[in-house]
Amino acid sequence: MILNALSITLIFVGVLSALLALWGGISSLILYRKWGKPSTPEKKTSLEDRSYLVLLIMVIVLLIRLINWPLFYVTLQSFISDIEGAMCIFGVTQVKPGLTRFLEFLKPIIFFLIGGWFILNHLDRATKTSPLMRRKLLLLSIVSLFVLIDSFGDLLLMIGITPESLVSCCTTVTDILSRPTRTTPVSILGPEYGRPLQSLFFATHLALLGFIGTGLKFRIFRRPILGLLFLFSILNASLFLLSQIEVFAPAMMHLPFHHCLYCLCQYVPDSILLFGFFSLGTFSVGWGLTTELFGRKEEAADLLPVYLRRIYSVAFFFLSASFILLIVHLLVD
Amino acid sequence: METIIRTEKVEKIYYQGRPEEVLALHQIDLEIVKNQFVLIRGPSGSGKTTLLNVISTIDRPTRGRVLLHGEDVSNYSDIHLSRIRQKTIGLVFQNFNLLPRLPAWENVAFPLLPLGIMVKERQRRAVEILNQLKLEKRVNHPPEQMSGGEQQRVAIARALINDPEIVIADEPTSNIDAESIQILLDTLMDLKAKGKTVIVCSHDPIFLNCSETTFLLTNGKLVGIEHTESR
Repeated sequence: MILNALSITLIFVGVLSALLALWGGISSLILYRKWGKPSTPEKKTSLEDRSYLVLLIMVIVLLIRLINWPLFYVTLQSFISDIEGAMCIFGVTQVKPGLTRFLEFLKPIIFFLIGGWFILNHLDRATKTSPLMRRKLLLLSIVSLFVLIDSFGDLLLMIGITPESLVSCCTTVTDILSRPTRTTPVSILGPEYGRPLQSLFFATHLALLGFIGTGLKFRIFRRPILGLLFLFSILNASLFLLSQIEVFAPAMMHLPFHHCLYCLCQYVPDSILLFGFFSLGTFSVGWGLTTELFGRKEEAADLLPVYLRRIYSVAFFFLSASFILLIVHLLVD
Repeated sequence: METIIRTEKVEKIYYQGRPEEVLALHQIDLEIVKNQFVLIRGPSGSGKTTLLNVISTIDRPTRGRVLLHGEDVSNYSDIHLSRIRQKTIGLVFQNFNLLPRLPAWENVAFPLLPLGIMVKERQRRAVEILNQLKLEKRVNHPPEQMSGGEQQRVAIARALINDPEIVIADEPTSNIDAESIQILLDTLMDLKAKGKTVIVCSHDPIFLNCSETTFLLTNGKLVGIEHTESR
């Protein structure tokens, strides 16, 4: 175990959120089962009072877990100097590659789930009779399970990473010609894949912005359209990641053969902003769909279009901002 | 005349389904008109405070409906009812319920806290309203350094800080002296003159001269309604 201020913070947050997620998950499941069943006003008030406590504590836990995502990477970054052979976060991830990959995959999912839950919570609180409470509680118990797994994962990783570890640098994996990611664009777009891949990403990104803009202008927020938009945003995100690794990262770092995204964040710090904006934009497209799926109830029907318009406006803003930031970088570099 | 509060067949049962079950209100139908002085009278244990709690949305009825501005609020969530109370109803409690360590102005400004209003603005509004209630010399005094009547007026000031349409007072004369009762009466009449609907729950006959509508409760039943001319 490597102990520094950040790892202690991550361990503390991990233990605290694991315990609270366990309590919150069970409590919200119990409340979910009791909610909506015919009962006296006193029982209803008592259930409401209990739900406030559960929701208040879980809101704090979920907010902490939102911050946990960047904190996780900052903590890994702080381990670089302690691990022999590590030159960037990639090296640190090689100490426990399976667990780290799993956590790297899980954290954005949790971020997405928490964000979606917060929007649903906000929508429910804006109504008069809290018609979404049962769905909210059920989703909260599911999110709690994810938070519990993530917290345990963090703790296991913190325990598992030791200073004696010897790892290989990112150049041995990302700079070789037979990299796995390289084989994908090559086989589809040919040996000169850089420009077509970049153009493909620009095309899908601009198309996504166009679709969202059209949806906002004409207020088309039907479920199938939102579903297609979400699938398209996943395709766009995949192309973004691929073109970042293959084309943009080397260009932004001025290292034509270096394809490491961790190094990109190290050498070009504002690329973190670029990833942040892009993630928020893409997640917002998904949050639009989850809000439509879980927020549709008679009483919330009038509020739902307003919420969807706001969510897609946020998506439009962040996706545009990330695109502008990328273009500025490419032009300046 | 615009009806501001209406109850339809309202019943309130405490400890429902248990041996100690109490029927506190039975089939209450009443209408409260805007900008009236309303008195709810009745002996101890007649259900006055329960009725007040139901019409002020603090409690939900077991059966029946409570309509505020024609809107049925009986099934609203507690959060939404809190918002309604925050905007529409000012409550003056029998025991004042002031925070003993806070100065008068902070007690008065307390309902503004959840609205995110800055401290200077909160203080300005609280002082203004305390001045209107002739408490300018007590602005920085905590409740424990005030008389019962002054505490009562601080509680009224707190009820008025959000400029509610309805002011509800539960047994307002029970903890104050005779001189303070007259000041309280003048204050409540002044509120009515300013367009507020004043609802007082009391068995004190002093309010009989001021009230335009009096509801008489006995054993949880509404047994009489008296209307007198507007004052």
